[in-house]
Amino acid sequence: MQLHLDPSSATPLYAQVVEQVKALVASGGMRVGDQLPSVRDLAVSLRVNRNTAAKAYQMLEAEGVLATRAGHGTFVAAGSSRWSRQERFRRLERLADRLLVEAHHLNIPPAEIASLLERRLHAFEMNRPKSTGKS
Amino acid sequence: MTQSVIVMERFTKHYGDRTAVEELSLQVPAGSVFGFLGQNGAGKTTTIRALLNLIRPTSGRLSVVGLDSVSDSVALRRRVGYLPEQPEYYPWMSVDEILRFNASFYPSWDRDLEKRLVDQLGLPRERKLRELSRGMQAKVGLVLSLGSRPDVLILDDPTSGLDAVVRREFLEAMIANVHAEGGTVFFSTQLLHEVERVADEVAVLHEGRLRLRSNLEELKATYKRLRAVYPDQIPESFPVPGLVRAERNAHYALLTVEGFTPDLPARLAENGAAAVEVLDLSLEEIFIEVVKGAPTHA
Repeated sequence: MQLHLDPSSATPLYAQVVEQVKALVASGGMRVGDQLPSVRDLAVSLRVNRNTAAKAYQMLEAEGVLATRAGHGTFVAAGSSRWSRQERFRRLERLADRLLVEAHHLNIPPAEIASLLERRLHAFEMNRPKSTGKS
Repeated sequence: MTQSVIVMERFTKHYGDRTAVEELSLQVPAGSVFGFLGQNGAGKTTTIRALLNLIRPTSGRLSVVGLDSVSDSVALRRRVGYLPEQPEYYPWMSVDEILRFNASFYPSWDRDLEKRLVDQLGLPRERKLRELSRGMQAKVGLVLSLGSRPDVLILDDPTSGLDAVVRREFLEAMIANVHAEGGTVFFSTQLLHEVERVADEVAVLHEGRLRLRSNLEELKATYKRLRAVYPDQIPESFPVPGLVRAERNAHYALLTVEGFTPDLPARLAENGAAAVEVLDLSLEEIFIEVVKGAPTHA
């Protein structure tokens, strides 16, 4: 698992790990059932504190991206978040708000935002192996 | 409660009438990676040398793994791996000879680990130390400090002057062999982005005094800069506790605070700010603020 961290970024290191693992899973770079390195090995390879690695895994488990089987390790999960549907939407809404703020400042009219999203969705689906669907 | 592995109680060291360290009290939690920061001459090396009984405190007490630095120093050294700032090895010894020599002092010396590290780091066992490059010599020092499987690793500016490849090998070896095994790492350094990456606790020493001691994540969450825009006039004072520095510009003020709470923007808005933006600071920026020690409070 290749991740690239930027320690001087304002985004905390554990959050960078979370984002990148999610991106890998969403893009099909990692599939359901794939095993991840142990917390220890992740800390060593990224040269970060093991609390950083452990916190990232905890968050990814809470979001249903990963699951740990005692004695076996950590794996990409079939994906059912422990959060309610309402909470999941609330999280996405925050991101949508940021998109809208940027679009406003970039002078992108609202109608074009929808078509932009559609184009991106299409590109995303194209790159993604069919069999790894996470629904 | 996590227990403390290194305890400093009012440690003071004077050299003649010069004060190197004054009343330093600091605790290093077990299992942490602790970044000990400060400019050159701040007193970091003095503190580390006193921990290992290489110099005597003028007053105060120091202990590592519950062992007193002065009265239990032999037992202490067996439990601690130490890499000095400028290690001086016998130049006529070969890598293998210094390893054997060093191992003889440690009942816990682990030859398998030594062999693994020597292979991993690509050290030539037969070569004389004086023939080795600086990076290679530093790697020898790393093997010497890790080979006894210490509970605590104390490193004095270990990666200064090393190239990026060797620095990376250093950090990996330190994490894999001490931190990941549940041990404690206490290291001084000037390279703040390395601390930012690996440390969970930090302290800043400045002119012999402790200026800051914090969990790194908490520090970054509470040490912030606020950009407050004032359409009319910038007020004389700001209703902000823990204000470190206020910088006034034409229509906005930059406020650096050390106890950020989410209600601060609203408080500034009540005080006439039209817009308030919260800016994150890197460890380097925080370090500079702490060390500059600009007069506090507006």
